[in-house]
Amino acid sequence: MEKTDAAGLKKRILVVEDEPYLRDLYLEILKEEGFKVDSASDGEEAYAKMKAGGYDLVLLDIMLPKMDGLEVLRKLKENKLQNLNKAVLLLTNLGQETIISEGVSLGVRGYLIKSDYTPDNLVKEIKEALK
Amino acid sequence: MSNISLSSHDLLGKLTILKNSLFMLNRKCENEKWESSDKEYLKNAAETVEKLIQEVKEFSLEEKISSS
Repeated sequence: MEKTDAAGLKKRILVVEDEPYLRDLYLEILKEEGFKVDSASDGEEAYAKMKAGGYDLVLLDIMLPKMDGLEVLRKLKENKLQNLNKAVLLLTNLGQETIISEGVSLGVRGYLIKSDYTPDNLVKEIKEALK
Repeated sequence: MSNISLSSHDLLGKLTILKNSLFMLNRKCENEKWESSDKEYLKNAAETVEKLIQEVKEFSLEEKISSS
């Protein structure tokens, strides 16, 4: 898996997670893997960064302060801004089918149940999603 | 969402932090010369957290089924 695009630029990942420990950990392991990473800690910040676009992948937590992850996606779609980032993976802790199916209808590529993953497995999934 | 689902969600969130912390500690101990007994404590802690995660998930699923 290339960690750079055709122009040799590092692939950009946005981590949207309100839990500071997990957010910092995800940032650290993704930086170690050579990705260019950015973060947001609530839905409003996520919306602002996703609106600016240019991410190869967005890891979007569902339960967030200010605006939840699905609301972020709905707002992007309403404003026809849903194609500014290449892929979105939802982060969740319970496999809530209705939420996940709504996410899929809003264009997400898939979801990751956080409690199923250790950091190394998470990186493998992310690399797979970036292929 | 019921209170029970919310509690399960919160609990899973905390357990996920523990799971990740233990993974990072384990990675560190692989790079350093830790006593094998210390590695065993870490392994036991990681296994216990994993069991708890599975139990909370099963509990949450049972609650979902019984409330539907």
